[in-house]
Amino acid sequence: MDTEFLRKQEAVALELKSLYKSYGFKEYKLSSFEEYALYAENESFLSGKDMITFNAGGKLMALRPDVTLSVVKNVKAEEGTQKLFYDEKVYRPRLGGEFAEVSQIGVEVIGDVDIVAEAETVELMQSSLSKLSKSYLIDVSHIGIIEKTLNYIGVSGSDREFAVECLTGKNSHDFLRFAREKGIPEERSEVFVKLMTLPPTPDEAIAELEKIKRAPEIGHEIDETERLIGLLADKSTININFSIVGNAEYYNGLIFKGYINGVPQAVLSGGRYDRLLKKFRKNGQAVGFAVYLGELERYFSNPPANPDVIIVYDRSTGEKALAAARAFRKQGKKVLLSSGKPAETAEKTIYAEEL
Amino acid sequence: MINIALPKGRLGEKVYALLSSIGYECSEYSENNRKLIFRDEKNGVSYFWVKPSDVAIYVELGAADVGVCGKDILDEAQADVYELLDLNMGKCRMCVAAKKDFRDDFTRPLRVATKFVKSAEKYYSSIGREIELIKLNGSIELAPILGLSDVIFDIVETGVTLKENDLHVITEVYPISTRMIANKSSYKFKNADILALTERLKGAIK
Repeated sequence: MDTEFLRKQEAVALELKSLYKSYGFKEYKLSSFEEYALYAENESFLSGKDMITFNAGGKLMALRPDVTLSVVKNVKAEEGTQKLFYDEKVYRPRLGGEFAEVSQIGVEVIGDVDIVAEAETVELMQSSLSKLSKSYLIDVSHIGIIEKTLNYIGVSGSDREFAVECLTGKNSHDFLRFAREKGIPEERSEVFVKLMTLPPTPDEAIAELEKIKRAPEIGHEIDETERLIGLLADKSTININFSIVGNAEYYNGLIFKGYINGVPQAVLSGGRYDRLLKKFRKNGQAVGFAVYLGELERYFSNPPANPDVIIVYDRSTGEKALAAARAFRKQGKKVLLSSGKPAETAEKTIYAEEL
Repeated sequence: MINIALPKGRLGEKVYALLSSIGYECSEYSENNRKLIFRDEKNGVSYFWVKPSDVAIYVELGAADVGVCGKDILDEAQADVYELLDLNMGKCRMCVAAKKDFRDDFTRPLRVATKFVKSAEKYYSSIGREIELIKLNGSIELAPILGLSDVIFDIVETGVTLKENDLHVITEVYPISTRMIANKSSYKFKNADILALTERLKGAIK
C-alpha cells in the first residue's frame, strides 16, 4: 500500500494493526467515555489522577484516560481466552499539565494466560518496537521479586514508598542512608541494593539474582523470568531492570517497559495484571501492553511535502492552466494551481501565459 | 558522545574540574567566555551550561544524557530520572524556620512561604498538616518578619542569613547535596559510557 501520504504516526498504526492481526488478535472498539466512577475507584492503576469529566444525564462521565480498564470491564472472560488489540485515543495531561488527545495502540490477552501467551506478548512488543526504530530495548521486571524483597527488608507505609522511590531512581545512596537510620540489617539492605545495580543483560542479571534468592524466597519468580526469556527468539533486546515498578494491587508477575533510541521516555508499557481482573470479579489471568504513539508525535518529523509543479495563472490563462495541470497529474506529478504569486516552492514553476 | 548538563556557577565549575581530572576534559573549555556548549570529540564528551533549576528538565527530556544538580532542585522538579550518585558537594539542609516566638496554631492552616512549592506540599502532607502555600522567588526570610507567613520552607547552608533576620530552624526536613542524574532512555542506550562515568566519579569523590 502507498502510505506516503500518511503521517508517520498513522503509517505506524496501520503496520502495528496488521502485525497484531497476523497473530490472530481481534480488534476491540470502545466508546470514548466511561463513568467517572470506573477511574475514581481504580485511581492507582492510572498514571495520573487528572482527567476530563462532564455531566451527562445526571451521571458524571470521563473522557477515557486509559484503555485497559475499559477493556477489562467489558470483556467476557468466561467465553474463553480473548486475544484483542485496540487503537484508541486517550485523554491525559502532558508534561506541563495541559490535556492532550494521544493515540494509544495496545494488545490484551485475557482468559487463560500461560508462559506461552506471555512469550508471544513479549515477541509482539519486540515486533511493535522494531516498527518504530531499529534500536530498541525492553526492560523486564517482576512485581513478585520487588514485593518479596520489600517484605524481606521489612518496610511498610511511607517507608515502603520511600524504598520504592529509591528503587525506581536507582538511588542506592539515599536508600542506604535511610536503611541505616531505620536499623535495617545490612545483609538485608544489600539484597535490595542488588536489585538497583544488576547488570542489564538477562544471563548476567539472573546469575546475580541466583546468589541472593534464598532469603527473600524469590527462587520461583526468578525461574519464571528465566523460562520466559528462554522462550524468546531474540534475547539481545531484553534487559532486566527492577526500576520498573507497577502497583501491586493490579499487577502481578512480569512487567515491561519499552524504549527506542533517541526518545527520552518509555514508549511502551505492559505487564501481567491478573489482580485487576479479580477486582472486576472476573476469573482468569491477563497480560497486555500499550504503545503510546501520541507521545512519539514530537519525535516523528512530518515536514509537509512540496508539490512537484506549480502552475501560476491569471484571469486570461485559467483554462490553459487547468488543462496543463491535468496533463501533469496524469504523469503522476503533484500539481498546485496558484492564482498569482504562490506561497510555496516547487521543483518547477510554470507561468500559464508561457504555455 | 556523552552530553552532560552542568549548573552555571561555582558548583558547576567545581564539578567540571572534578570531571576533567578523571578523563572528561574538554579542550574547548574556558572559564572566561559566554559559550554555553563545549565539545571534546577525543574524550567523547559535550558539556552544556544551564540554569541550575533547569538541569533536571534537560536530563528528563533527553537533551542531556546526564546532569549534576542539588537534591533540592531534583525533588522540586519531580523529574523521572535515575539518580546515580551522591557527589557529597554543596551540602546543606532543607529546613522549616520561623521567628523565635513562633508557636504553631493547629486551629488554622499553617502559612508557609517557599520557593520549593512541591517539596513543601509533599512534606506537610506526609505529616498531615494543612497548609497555605505562598510561592516566593527570593528573600524568603522576609515573609515571617512582615507577617506574610508563619514559617519558611527553605534550604539552609550556614544559618547566618536566618540569624541576622532573627529567625531560627524549627525542623530539619532532610539533608541536601549534589547528585548526578541520568536520563532513563540514555542510561539504556549509552549504558557502558554512563556506567564508566559513574564509576570514575565514585572513585574520585571517595
